[in-house]
Amino acid sequence: MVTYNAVDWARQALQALSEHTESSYELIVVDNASSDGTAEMLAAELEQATVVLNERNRGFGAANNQGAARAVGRYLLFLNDDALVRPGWLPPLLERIESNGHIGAVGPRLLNLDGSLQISGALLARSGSTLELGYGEDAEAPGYRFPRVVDYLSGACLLVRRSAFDEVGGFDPVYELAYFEDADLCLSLADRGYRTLYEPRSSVTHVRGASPKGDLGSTLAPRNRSVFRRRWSDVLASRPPSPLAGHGRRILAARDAPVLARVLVVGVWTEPLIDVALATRVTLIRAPDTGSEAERLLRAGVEVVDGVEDWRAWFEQRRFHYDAVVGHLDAEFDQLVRQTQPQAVHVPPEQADELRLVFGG
Amino acid sequence: MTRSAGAITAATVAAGVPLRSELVPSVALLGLFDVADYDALLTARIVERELSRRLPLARVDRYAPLGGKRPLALDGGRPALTLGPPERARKAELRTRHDLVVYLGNVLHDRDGLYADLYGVSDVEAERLRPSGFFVDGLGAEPGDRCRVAWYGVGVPFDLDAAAAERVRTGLASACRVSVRDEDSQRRLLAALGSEVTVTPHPAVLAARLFPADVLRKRRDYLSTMGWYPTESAPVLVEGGGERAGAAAEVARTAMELGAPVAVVGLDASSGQDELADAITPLLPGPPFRLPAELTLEDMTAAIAHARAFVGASAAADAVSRAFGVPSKAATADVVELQERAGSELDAVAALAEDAWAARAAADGRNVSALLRALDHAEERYRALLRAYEQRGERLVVDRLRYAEIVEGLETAADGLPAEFVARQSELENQLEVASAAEAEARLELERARAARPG
Repeated sequence: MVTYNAVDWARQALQALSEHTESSYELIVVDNASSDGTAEMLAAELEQATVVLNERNRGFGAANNQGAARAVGRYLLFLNDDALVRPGWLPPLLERIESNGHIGAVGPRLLNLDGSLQISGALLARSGSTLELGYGEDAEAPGYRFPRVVDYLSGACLLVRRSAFDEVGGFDPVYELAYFEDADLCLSLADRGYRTLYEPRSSVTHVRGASPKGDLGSTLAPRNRSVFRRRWSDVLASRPPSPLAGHGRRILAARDAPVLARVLVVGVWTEPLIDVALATRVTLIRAPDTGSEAERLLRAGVEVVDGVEDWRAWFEQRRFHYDAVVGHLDAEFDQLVRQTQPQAVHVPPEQADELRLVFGG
Repeated sequence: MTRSAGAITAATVAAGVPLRSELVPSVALLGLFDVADYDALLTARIVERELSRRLPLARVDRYAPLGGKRPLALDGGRPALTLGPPERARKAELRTRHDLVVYLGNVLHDRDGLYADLYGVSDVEAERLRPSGFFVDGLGAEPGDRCRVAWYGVGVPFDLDAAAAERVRTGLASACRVSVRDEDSQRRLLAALGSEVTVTPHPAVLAARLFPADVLRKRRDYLSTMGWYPTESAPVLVEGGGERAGAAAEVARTAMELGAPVAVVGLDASSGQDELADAITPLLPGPPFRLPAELTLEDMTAAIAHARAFVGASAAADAVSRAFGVPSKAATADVVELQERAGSELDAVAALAEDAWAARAAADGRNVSALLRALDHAEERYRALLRAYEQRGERLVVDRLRYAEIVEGLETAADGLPAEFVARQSELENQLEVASAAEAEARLELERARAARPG
């Protein structure tokens, strides 16, 4: 945890960490020269923690690198000083990262103080600008409750495989005090074959802005975006153009850009696809039973869509989106699929197992 | 080649292909990988990588006396397996589990009492652990063993008395290959064995294969950001502790001749680099940069790789400096020749594992060897197909995105705006965003340049 002039929130964040973490962990706090009594609070209130006091603000990335250099664990959890972990937050993240050696980072659903969604994975546009998917929306909406591969996650709470972190060289100090170092880390991981996953079974409240940044946002954020865009221009070329906000189709395109295979399942769920739900985008629509079965599928990484009133608009928003459509289609859906997904192959449910093989499950 | 950030790569999926662990070649590395020592940990990392390059299917495990009980920040949370005391059953287990066991590091001596200090344990505990029971006595041998044993580039740090020499003779009798790291070790072993062993270059001359340039650049920038390493010009990097304070005058003279700043680093927990830095300080126009103890292997390597010159006694650090073309006092031999010799020795070590594994596979009634070859072939084809699939997928994603933009443009055109106009507008909006970010970057640079203007 890097702290900077947010003593009250840091105290609450540490308290929440202590209350809601059952796994064994070592706690390393790096204070970036706070002037509000944070260092004194850490000295007085923390036991069995490593506290590093910097003489001046070294920035978010460098301070996190400092902490990482002192850690002996297999995984590193970067936590902001204004991020309040909630009950049961850590096991889903650990379970996810331990499930596959090629998962480099995992992050939770970040919530605002009022309980609304703050971010369910960040989206990248071609210009290097970003969008927080789902900001201000209902955090329980099914659209934000399935784990998925993302371009990047906020560094406010990010679990990273230590060996992968070292392999990419950690946070790049080129981003100086703040902004875009988390995005750069996740793309660096992806560049070496590690995926970054959003895991909504884990929730953390993120106050955001607790640490004063002055006019950093207006100067450093665009400057760092320029550095980031130049560095990752070949990746960004496959992301949709700006602006993303207000453009549903672009948002979907950006959300699913990190996965190369997309399958639309209509009507009846076909179980073999469960194996490829995380590696691809599998969307289930018009499922007759959406109770506990929907929960199971969401948990496995299937996007379960329910309650759509205007299917035409829904399909038009996903124009050219899917590689394959699985299911027996009625006349209305057959027409919609033909009009909006002419590139997709139509696969009968009984042959869905072949998709699992094709998509590497 | 286009990077597929976040995309599912061939390696990702290939990792899901089940490889039955008992079928693949299995190698154990034994050494002091539970001590915060740059040499030992870097050696393990490089040998692991080089053996894995030569035996792509192989599994390589590390063992150290305390192993998992002593995870190290220096090595990034990669705890070795615990070796424990040198019991007969443990040795038999290692021989059974692995096709090849390789000893690494400065471990060929019988002074077990030294491990008490090294591990911070009591003399009684050090005696119970008795690491020389592995490092000197080896694993022993039983009829029918297929496991091969090698001492690779080891150090013999002390002269061996008669008892120690006898132990070394007995232990190394079962070795398939022995090489040492320096002439002193060679001389000591010659005295004990009566025959000469090869001196092999330190494997750290291959360090550039382990650490990509972009990673070392990031770590160098991190060290500079923290104020531990100079930003403007590459330093003369000095390694060591108080015992090297006598070299302070020479270091200072070298630095002043080169017009370079000085940075001081310690490469193991007991370096005491501050003592060395204190000795150098009065001899320099300004204070030297001091690298802290809390560094990773990547940090230390980055500091060496970006130095103007390197001065130090560490064999590993010296080899790293050669690998990155950084002048050092000891550098005499041609680095390419050193790398070739190091590579040849590693080829020979890898061949031992391959031979042992092949013998094991041939003796397996299930015709494991043929099965693995077939699996290897299938995997190769699978990876090739996946690569093709990914490239196609990336192109499709981009193309579809473009088509969707065009269709959207046409739909907007139906609302009265020409499609070309809509497309151009979108393109210009993107350009504007890119330009505004570039402007912010340029303004910040300009402000900083003005602030740093002389006078």
